[in-house]
Amino acid sequence: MSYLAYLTGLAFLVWIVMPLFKKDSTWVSLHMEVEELAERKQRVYGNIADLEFDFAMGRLSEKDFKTIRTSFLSEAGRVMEKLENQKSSKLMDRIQNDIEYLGKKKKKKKKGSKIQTAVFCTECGTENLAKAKFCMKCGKGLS
Amino acid sequence: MADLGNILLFFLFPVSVFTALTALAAGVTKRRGLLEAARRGAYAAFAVTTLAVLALEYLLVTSDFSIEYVASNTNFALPLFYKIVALWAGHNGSLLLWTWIVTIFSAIVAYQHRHKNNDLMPYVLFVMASTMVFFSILSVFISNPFQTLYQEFGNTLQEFTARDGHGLNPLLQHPAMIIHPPILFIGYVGSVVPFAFAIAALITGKLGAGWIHTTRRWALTTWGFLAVGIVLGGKWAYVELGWGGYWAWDPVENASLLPWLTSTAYLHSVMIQERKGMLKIWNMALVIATYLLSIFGTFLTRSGIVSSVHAFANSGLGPAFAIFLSMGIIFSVTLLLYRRKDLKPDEEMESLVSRESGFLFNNLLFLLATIAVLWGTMFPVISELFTGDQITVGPPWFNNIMIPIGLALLLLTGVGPLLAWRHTSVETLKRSFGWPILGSFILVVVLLAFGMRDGWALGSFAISFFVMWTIVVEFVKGANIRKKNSGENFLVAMYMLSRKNTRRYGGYLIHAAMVVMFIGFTGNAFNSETRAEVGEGDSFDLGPYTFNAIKITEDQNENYSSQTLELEMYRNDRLIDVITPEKRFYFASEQPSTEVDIYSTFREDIYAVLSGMSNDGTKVIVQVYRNPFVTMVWIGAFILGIGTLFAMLPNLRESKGGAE
Repeated sequence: MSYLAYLTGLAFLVWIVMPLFKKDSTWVSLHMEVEELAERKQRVYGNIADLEFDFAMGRLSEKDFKTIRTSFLSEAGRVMEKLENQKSSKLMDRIQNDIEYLGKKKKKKKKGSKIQTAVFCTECGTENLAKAKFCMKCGKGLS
Repeated sequence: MADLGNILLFFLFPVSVFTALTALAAGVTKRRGLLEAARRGAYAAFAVTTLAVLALEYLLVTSDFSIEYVASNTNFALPLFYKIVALWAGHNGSLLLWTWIVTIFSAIVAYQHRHKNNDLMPYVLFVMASTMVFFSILSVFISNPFQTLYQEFGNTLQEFTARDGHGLNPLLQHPAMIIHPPILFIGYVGSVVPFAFAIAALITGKLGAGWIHTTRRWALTTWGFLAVGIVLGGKWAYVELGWGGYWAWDPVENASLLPWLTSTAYLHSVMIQERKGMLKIWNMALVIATYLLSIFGTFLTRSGIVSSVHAFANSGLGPAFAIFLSMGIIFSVTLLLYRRKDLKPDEEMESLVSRESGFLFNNLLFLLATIAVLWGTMFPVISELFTGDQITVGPPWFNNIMIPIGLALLLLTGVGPLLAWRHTSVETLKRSFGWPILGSFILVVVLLAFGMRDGWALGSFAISFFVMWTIVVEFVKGANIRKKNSGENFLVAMYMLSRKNTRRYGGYLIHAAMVVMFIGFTGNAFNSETRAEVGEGDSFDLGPYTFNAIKITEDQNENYSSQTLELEMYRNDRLIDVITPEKRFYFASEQPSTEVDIYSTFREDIYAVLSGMSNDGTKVIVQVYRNPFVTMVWIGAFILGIGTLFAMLPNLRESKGGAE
């Protein structure tokens, strides 16, 4: 009985330290600027939704509503433009890196039939399921 | 079994050190293998601690009195159910519970984020594992629950098995014992998750709203647990301690209130960061303060530096906690200062009359409240430092400061949501506030006409009325707009409206809960009480009630002996109820305890305590309190729980034409 307990403990210990001895890869951090822009885009969208709600609830005058809305829309435009321009090499690096890593993983798990490859959003870098049509974080269409 | 428990607990220390180190290394090198090892370390810490908890439960249930913890907190006659919950009855066991919850949360976080947030996770795991390291040191080396019992024989200490245990503290023999400590602990410990993410964001420099979104549910959950835990503690004190109230500004109560105040402030101010990119440093500071205050609360209850009715005796943990706390403060403040340039606001304040300025006032008030409670709680220590005497500030001091702050906060819950973001014009304000203000004014006039003269109470009722009105209008107006646009009927529209923004409407529900609770708190202004020595057949009055003592009985079972008074309660010559306050004496712990009886209605509680025998031993002394609106506090807490759950539901997305 006690031998069994020791064996279980030992097996557990091996399981914990195992990843340390695996030849493995590193991950590359997402490019900060892209992330920041994606966040700003989210914020502007949230602000517009709130503004429309506040206006519908009669909390601000039509004049205020129109001015603030115009400023939000132009901000949204600016952010989108910058995002489009951000075809950063770092982001591509990360995607390349992750695809390689997943490729290795797939080879090792040949037996597993239900492997789901991932698709990375070109906009914000979020990992999505292969069958996903849109990015779950930023909503950009995935091809 | 005790040996096994000891070994398991001992393993927790190297496992958590391993987790912390591999996590840190993973953060620096960005190697996936290291991160995976750290993750597995977190799972292992959870497994090991769970088994240790089970081992202690086994010892408690089988009454193994060779173990000091079992012998001091249980006895043979104790019902099985209390033997099980005795895990958190004593100091060492509750520390193990605390450690266990930390490992549970670490394992959950490690699992939730196994495929995402690779940049933050190493440091998140590092912070959580460091907390584990600290608590494992306490559990293993300073207050080990598996410690064997020793007795002095002559000059030597020998292992010893007690014939029976000391039993469970009678005050703890109450059904609330099952849920109050774990709920409060979850609230306390839960603050480590947002803290860990905040620290990770500071270290990595990923200071956007990412860490805030990730921890939103955690922050809300632990906030809800803390709130419900605090009220449950109040309820327990109310029915068990027998002094007629539920809150006495006792250091231990304050200790749980402090992190709640800062986390409430955080839940509000975080919205400014999400909408305007402002208050970044402030939000970080609040999350850090909440965690440190949770640790501070534990320290306060276990160090014996301030005396309290339910603080654990000086347990030698004081220095350890002081060191950990100081390290936490130095570490977080240094990080915060280091990153201060990256935490600059993205936008500026536009108008003083706006939602964001409402949130700012709210935060200012919460900050004031936190400082006041902290100051009052620590005043005995501070005064001892300077004058040599411990001067305790009592409930009147706290009430004088906290009632105005509380009412101002309550008022803001009504005003804030009616302000638009960025800018609100005066005309729209008049439109929003006109009717509710008029309504509250009429209420005050009516209450004055009925003879109510207490200024604070009048203010509180007026504000409560105002806030409730605005909340109801928010729901009704929103539902009507939706009804017009979608053609749904009113109730469906209201449901869809709230499900589409659960955070907003869950928040309103919590605001409504606070109003209900404030009505309960205000009842305190009208409390009355009487004390009577009665024999069988005697009677006495309290307000419109008359009480007849009909019988005094004595009873005994293997756990305790008891005395019970049967008291008939009449109002306008009509028998309403027979209440039976009881006094018990527990044999094992040699401690008395009062079992109050409460006749409770929405309007008021009649609360009877049997305090003892008269000097000549022929009569019993009974104390009766009349407490208006107490039930509102419990109902409010219930609504608060529902509101919190609602706020955590995911927003419903509409399938067609979804303009979200």
